[in-house]
Amino acid sequence: MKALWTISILLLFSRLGAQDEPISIFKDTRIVNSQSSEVERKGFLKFIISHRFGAFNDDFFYNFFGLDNANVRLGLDYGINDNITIGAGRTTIEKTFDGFLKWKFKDQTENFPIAITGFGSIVYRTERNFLIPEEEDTPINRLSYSAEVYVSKLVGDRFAVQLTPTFTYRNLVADRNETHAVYSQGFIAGYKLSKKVSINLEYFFTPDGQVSDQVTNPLSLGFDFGTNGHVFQLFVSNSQGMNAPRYVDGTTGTWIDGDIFFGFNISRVFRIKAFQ
Amino acid sequence: MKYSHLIIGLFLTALFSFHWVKQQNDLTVSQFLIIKGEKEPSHHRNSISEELITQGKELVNIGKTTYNGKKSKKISKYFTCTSCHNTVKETEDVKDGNDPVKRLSYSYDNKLPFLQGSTFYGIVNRETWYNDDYKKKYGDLVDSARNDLVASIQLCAQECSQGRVLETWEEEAILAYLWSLEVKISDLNLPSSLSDSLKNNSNSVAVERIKDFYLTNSPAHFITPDEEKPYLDKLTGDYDNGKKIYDLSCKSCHKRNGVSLLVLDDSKPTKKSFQNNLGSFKNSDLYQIVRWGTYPVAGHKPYMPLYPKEKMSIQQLKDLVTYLTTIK
Repeated sequence: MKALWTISILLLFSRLGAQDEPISIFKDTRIVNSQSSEVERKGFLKFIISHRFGAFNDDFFYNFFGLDNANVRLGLDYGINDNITIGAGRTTIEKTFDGFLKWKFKDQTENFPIAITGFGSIVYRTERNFLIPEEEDTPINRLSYSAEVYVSKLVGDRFAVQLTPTFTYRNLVADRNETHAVYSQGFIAGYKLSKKVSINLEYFFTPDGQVSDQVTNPLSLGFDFGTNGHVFQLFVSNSQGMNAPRYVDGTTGTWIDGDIFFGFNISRVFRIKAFQ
Repeated sequence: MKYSHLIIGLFLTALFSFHWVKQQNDLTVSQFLIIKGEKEPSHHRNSISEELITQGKELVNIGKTTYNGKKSKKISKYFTCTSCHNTVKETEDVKDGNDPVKRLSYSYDNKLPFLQGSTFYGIVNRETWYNDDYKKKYGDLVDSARNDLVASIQLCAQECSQGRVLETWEEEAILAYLWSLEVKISDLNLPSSLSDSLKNNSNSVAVERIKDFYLTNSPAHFITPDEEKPYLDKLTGDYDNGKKIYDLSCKSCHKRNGVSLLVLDDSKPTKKSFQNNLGSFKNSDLYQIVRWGTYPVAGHKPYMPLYPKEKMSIQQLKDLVTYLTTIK
């Protein structure tokens, strides 16, 4: 509650700096698996191809560097205006469709120290879950949701940090020890190595008692390569998930055991609406 | 008593002169020229409605308007006219519009973008457009546009802004708006002695003399990075002036949510990038990008127009380079 008041007061005072030039904190709207506080520009459509290859410890060369076990997401993001982005995607794992709304409430400017963005998503699994009886595998039970807030800041010219409090809600959980609602805290750091290249670290910590003991915290390390209109992100992670309910609640690999997945996100933006 | 007629005569003469000067100052340049017997230019229009001017203003500033109750289609997805052209005076004295030093100083004082294109203020008073080296860029397309403002507007819409063919009513609306930005006699920095002589000169002399006080064309000379380098090497850059150019010129397009997707800032990584690419002849090379610009390619139509010498001087480019490659 105190945090809510603090944010409200900051937003109130931020009106003083409403004309300030916004500062770009991250190169892209995504970090690795999770999102950054950045949103699409008005009238721009972004096509994102995301790949998560198979694990290093799973016959890596036989599976052609994990390509044979790749998990793919094809997604489209669209900027309704310069603050609101909507998006949808389809992911191979569990044959899931997802849709989201992302709303940037505040930009970091000279007069306002942080950027604040809200995010909500809904994920629908279309693959039959054979671990449960068919009558229980209802459409409602196939849904899961996430609500996230991104509070980010560019410190100096190069260093970016982001806190990502994340709530996920799964209509169906694997066993009675798991809770439907899960709170997780994301920690993200980025460093601009040059104008076009940056390195990012992403970690989500989920307090005990919410998910099964097999679930681990996802840790990812990646590089962004930006060009005009394209962003290439290459990374390694112990999670193959690309939606919050999957990478927060469904990561089971660990770095120490070699459960490391190489992956990339490649995006290309298209101008759909004319420049205003 | 015997001087009373003389005093009254002098008074009436002064009053008449004052009235004449005031009357002349209220005139636009084209009205003055027509009074003096100059032939109307082909783009002259006798009657222009306020509605047409408003439509033209919207087309120029946002690329679309309302016509016959319907919203028109955007001229270009990528640019508006004002991406490259201001619509107000760019120098204290309108005849100095081709002096990049005076233009920058005035732009800085008045918070105007420092752009590649000529201002639309007084563009109808020009006699030629797409001058000199624009032939190198647009080839034969400039032949019809050079002496015809309407053809120039079409060329701008289709090529410069990578947009579509304008309909006739759109041409007329833009032209109407441009006429509303005509130079007035009162804008001209006429010495008082000239005001008197204009009254007494023959029409043809008056026409020629008045044309010295506003621009009848925009010279445009390109220079390649190779040609420019020897000059640049001899100059010393001014860091503060470079920052002015960066803010008013580069950032007018390369700002967040600006015309370009490439966002430029004052950070060290950005400056390092410019520093590392200087002299590389790539798009990220300042010498190259300012003087050569970029060109539309299949799949990527937005491009960066180049700066002729008249729009950014060699010294100003040196200043810009100095600012962007000096990391403090």
